[in-house]
Amino acid sequence: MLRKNAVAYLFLLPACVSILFVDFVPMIYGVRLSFYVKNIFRPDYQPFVGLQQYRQLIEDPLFIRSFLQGWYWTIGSVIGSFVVGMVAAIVMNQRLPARGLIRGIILIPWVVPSALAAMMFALLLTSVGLVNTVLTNLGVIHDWHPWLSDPRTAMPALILTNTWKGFPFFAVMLLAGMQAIPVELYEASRIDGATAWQTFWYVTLPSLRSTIMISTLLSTIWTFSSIDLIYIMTSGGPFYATFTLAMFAYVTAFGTGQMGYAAAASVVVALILMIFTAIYLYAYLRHSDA
Amino acid sequence: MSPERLSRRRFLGGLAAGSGLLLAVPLLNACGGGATAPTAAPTASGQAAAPTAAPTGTAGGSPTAAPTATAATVTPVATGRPTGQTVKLTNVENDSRPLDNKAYENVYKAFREKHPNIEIEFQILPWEQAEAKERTMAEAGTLPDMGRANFAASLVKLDAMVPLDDLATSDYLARYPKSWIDDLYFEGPDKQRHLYAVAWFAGDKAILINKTFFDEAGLTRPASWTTDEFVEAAKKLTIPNKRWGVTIDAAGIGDPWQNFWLCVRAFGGGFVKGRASDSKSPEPVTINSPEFIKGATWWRDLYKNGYAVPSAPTDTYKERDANFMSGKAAMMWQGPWSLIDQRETLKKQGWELAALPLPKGPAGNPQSSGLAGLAGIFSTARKRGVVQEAWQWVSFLCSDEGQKIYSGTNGMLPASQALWKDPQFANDPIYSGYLEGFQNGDRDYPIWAVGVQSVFDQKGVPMMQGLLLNQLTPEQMAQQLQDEVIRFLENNGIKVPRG
Repeated sequence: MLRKNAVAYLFLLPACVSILFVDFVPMIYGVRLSFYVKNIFRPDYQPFVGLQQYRQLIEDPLFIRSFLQGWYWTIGSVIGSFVVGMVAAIVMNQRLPARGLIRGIILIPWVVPSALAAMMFALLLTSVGLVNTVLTNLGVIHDWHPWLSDPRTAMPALILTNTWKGFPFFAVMLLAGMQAIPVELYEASRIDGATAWQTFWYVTLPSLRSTIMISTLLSTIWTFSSIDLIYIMTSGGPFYATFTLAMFAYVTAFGTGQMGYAAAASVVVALILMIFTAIYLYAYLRHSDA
Repeated sequence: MSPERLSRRRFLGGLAAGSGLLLAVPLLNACGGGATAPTAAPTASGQAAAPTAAPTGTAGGSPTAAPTATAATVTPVATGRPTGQTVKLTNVENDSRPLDNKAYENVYKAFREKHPNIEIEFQILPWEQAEAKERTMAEAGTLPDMGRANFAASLVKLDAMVPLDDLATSDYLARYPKSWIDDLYFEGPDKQRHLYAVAWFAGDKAILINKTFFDEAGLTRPASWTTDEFVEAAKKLTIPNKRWGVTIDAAGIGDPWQNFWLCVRAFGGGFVKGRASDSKSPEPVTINSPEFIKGATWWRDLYKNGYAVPSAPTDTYKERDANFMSGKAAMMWQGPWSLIDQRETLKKQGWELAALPLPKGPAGNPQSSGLAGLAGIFSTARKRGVVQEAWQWVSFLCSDEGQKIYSGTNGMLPASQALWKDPQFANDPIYSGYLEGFQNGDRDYPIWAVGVQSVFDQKGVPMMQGLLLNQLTPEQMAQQLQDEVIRFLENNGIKVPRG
């Protein structure tokens, strides 16, 4: 018995060590760095400043703006991906001819590299891109519109791109959840004369609650801290209209070389996500108990 | 507790012991100082043209000055290695145009004939991420051995570059215009200025035009023109919703700021009072000035009046080039980076390419840096003990022979004054605007304002976007930018006197 258990722990050891050095050590170093001024243009000057950089962050109007825009970006993307993913999951769950092919096609956005997706959508959304061409030909708009250069439409355009990229994740998770729902529940609802919408609302959705909770939580965390689409399509512009907190940290670190200040911003991002996760889980568990 | 089960305490103890052992392995390896192996060079993917102007804003020399140096000779240096032992090096480059790759190939072929024992793998770090990546690699000690050194200012601070004082002779340096030589020196970790880079291609800015569109609009190509005449031309060349007079890039690093700054300087704006090249020690910053405001207003009004492509706020140099090459715009600010390629591409569409000098404002038509492509040796070569071999390559690339092959292939202007008289450049009218421009060259900012380019790229460019979108006035931009620059300099220990 001892050997059996010991072997199990030994198998866990490499993963634990890897997590320790890949996750926790850099995290601890990042937190430590946030208490020092570290500017790459001044490597011989790295004083300990305590919480000064955190105070600077709170007083930085760009930080506040990035925080709010980060949530705009995240909530828009997650809701968009969830809704489209749910529709896709419902489609994939039907007994359709060529179901396998449909499932494969739906997964394509997920496997396309983010950089490629960003470049693709950037081209589609240029002044003479396909989007403008189609909309002007349909008479929806009269003049070409610079979707990514207009502060009003830049973020929605990014959210649209991220929705396209992210919906297959929800589709796969929700499909897996749907397939675990007992068939008897659907039979019972059919016997009771429920409409399709009523079946969805009262049978499918409640059964998918834990799947929805996990997938939206993961998607929120990933989206809030992602910068790839934003970096390639708008670089946070025009004039900071698509500047999120994650972009703020990245540009501060690698654009202006202020590593300590960027580390403080990154710590704040991590804290925000931890608080969000805690509140989210608390609300979910409380609702479960009720 | 059952004696047969492993307790949590024992497990955690075992974990700690195992972690300690695993930690010891890389520590021992680091103490051993293992040489960094050359990394495999990804093949160039034909990415769009990148701005290659030097961020140091160096002064241009006279293109007509007689070369004072004899042809540079590279002193063969004994390496202490057994003759015939192959040395493998890695070279980094930030541009990856097809013709640039071809140019490197041709130079490398000639180099290998002279140095068959040196093999080089070529890496490309795309321009947009190059500075950030190279800084990160410098911190990690994983830079290549040598290569493009346009970010020398920040890498030298990290002690990531090798001084070339003992390697480059005075004859070698005398091939460049005198005013450029100062910009090859940077303050090292010992607070002394050392030579850290040499140059192999030059370039400033001109206005590239689609001559066919000019002819169709009934415009003549002037030998020189004013900012008002430029605006008139842009207006005549604009066909609403079909074509715009000019394409502006207001996103990305390097070119956007440099092109904007040229407009500001044409109206008399500047970093300090007087020429930035002449400013050797901290003095009051004069970004916030009526001249800056006039220049910024002129630039903004090109967009506001509908003469510039509407996507300017998020157009990088790639979109700018694409706008011009596709006929969406008739003019753009551009260096001599891919003239051969651009000329051929326009020709395929039945259009003709030409270059005009920068428009003259009240302060003339000041030029940007003529010094563009810098090459240097990184600390990796020092760690690996291959500095001499790296210098063999760098010095050959930047020699007259290497420059002639490189520029002869891709059409860029060489950095050696002697080569400016070569018929390929002297007799081709498209280069005349660039060669003349070297006379008006000045640094974008003084030599003591180390690293301030990052403020222009990261803060100045978003402000340019705000200007175009009417979310910022020129007055606000002037004030905010000056504040950002002063804050940056003082955070870096450079005390700036108040004017």
